Order: sequence, then structure tokens, then C-alpha cells
Amino acid sequence: MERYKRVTGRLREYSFPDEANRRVSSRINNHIDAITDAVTGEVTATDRPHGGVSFLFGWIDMLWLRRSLAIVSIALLLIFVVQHTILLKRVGLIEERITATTTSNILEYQKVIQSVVYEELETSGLKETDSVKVSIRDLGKLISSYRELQYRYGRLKVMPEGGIEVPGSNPEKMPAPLSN
Amino acid sequence: MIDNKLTESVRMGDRNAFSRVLDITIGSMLLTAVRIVGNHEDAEDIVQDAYLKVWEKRDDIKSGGSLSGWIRTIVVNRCYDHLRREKVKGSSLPEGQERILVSIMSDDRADGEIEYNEFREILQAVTALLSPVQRIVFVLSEIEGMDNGEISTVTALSSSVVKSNLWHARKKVKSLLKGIYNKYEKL
Repeated sequence: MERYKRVTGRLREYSFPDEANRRVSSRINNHIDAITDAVTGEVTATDRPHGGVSFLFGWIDMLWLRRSLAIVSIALLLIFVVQHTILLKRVGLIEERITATTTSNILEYQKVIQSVVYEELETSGLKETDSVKVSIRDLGKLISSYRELQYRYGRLKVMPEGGIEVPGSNPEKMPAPLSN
Repeated sequence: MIDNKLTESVRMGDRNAFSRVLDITIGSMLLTAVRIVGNHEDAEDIVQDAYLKVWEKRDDIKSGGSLSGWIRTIVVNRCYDHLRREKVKGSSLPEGQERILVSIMSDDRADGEIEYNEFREILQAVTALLSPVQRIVFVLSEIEGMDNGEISTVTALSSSVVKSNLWHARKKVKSLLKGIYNKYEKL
């Protein structure tokens, strides 16, 4: 037992030299650094474009440029949204105006019909009568003439006093006066 | 001393923290490795591989666990793989080794610093008849001074397997020393 203890005790006394500790430690550190650098290098090499692509997209490596472009794109997006809102509002206003104008035009045309009819009645001496007989054919002519007038002079909004004065119109094509 | 903060820093991939752990533990790990495999070159390679594996697998470090214990487990496992590959188990000792052992047992060299060559010769002689598992258990218990529970944790062997292997290892070493001593005493 004593001899066994002496031998194991002797083995226990050995210690690894400090310089060897440092050497191995340095080796391990260098190895890990090399591995880390290799991995980082591989990742960078994979991510970085080459040749013509590098020429075109090399700027993506510039952080300040990427940030500036991001800010500009956000500003452009905001401007687009604001402009779109303004445009929509204006289109809504224009739509309202068109509706109002169309309604006022219809009223104007109604006035024209009334004045024409009353004028005819007066000139034909039928104003005092209670009723007027109008044939279907004549009524059709009246409507078609009205539509032609509406088509040709659609933009005419203001009714001058004393009736409509149509420049260059062909009196022959005007509807025939109402007759009984 | 490796605290939880340092362990966590290594787990997060902090190179400086890993270097500090390396500085703290390298001496102990190299000593364990050389006591098991018996020579500097193999011990250095084994320890280097073990630390590289630790760095590679740092995500597996458990929070609150013993980092040095984990490193030691990896070192011991690597030593075991090395012993199995090398098949260092022998049947007889060279005469030179026997004489060194006799001189130690006779108390001629009990004191004083032990040289590397002497260490190698003694270790080789003492562990020559041991299987890889017996050799590891013998070194961890009789030279490193670990108890059976610690050996069981480091080697991942059950406590009964550790006890059994240690009993057989001691028996073989004692028998070997007794045989050599008796042989040279008669001369």
C-alpha cells in the first residue's frame, strides 16, 4: 500500500510547463480567430456582388447612402399620399359642379321649349283657346327638333332675352310651327 | 474562477470571455489530458480539439451549469477516443521502466521535482495493463483526486461502473508494483 501511494504521489507531482500552457492557449486562440475570420470572410464574399453587378450595386455597401435613400423614399411616399388626397377632393368638387351644370342646362332647355311653344301659340292666335290638338307626328317632330337643338347648342347656358339667336342656323331645318 | 456571467458571455459568443475561460482552465485541462494519454503532443492536440469543440458548441452551454466541468468532460472523452484508437495497453514493461518504479517504491526518488521523461515512464509503466476506461478512472481518482461521484459526472459512467473499474485498476496496479518490487528485491 505504501509503495502504491509513493508511485501515485510521484505522478501527482508532475505539472504541465507554463510555457506549454501559453503555447497551447495561443494556438487555440489563433485557430478560433482563423475560423471566425474564415466564416466572416465567406459571408462577406457571398453577400458582396462581383464584376458588373458590383459596379451597379456596389453603392449598397455605403451605409449613409442607404439611409439617405430610405429617408427620401419615405418623404416621396408621404408627398404621394398628400397629393392623392388633394386630387380626390378636387375630383369630388368637379363632379359636384358637373351635376349642378347639367341640372341648370336642363332647366334652360325647358325654358326654351316653353317660350317657343308660347310664341307659336301667340302667333297662331290660339293663345286664348283652352285646348290644342297636336298630332303625334307633330309632337315627334317637336321632340326631335328639341333634341337636335340640345345636341348642337348643348353648351349654350344663358338664354338671352327675347329668345335664342342661333348663328348660321338653317331656318329650313327648324321645326315647323305648331298647327292645329 | 468561472462565474455565471462569464459562462453566459461565452454562450453569447463573446471571444474575450472565451479567452478568459481559456486562460483560467487550460493548465488544468492539459494536465488532465497528459495524465491520461501520457505525452505532451497528444495532450496538446486533444485539448486544442476539445476547446475548439467547446467554442463551436457554445450554444449548448447550459445556464447555471459548470463550464469547466463541461470542458473537462469533452477533454476526457477525447482522451478516451485517443486511447481506444492507439490501443496503448501492453503486457510487459521495459526494464528501464521497472527500475524507475523500483527506485520510487524504495523511496529513492520520493522528493524533488519530477521530470517529464520520468513522469512518462512511470505513467506508461503503471497504466500499461489497464483498459482505456480503467486508465481514465484510475487517473481521475488516484492522480486527479476526484471522488466517484465527480468521476461519474465527468465520464458519464454510472457510479457502479466507476467503482468496478477503479477496483480492477487498483488491483492491477498494486499487483504490478508488487511483482516488480519482489523481482528486484531478490536481485
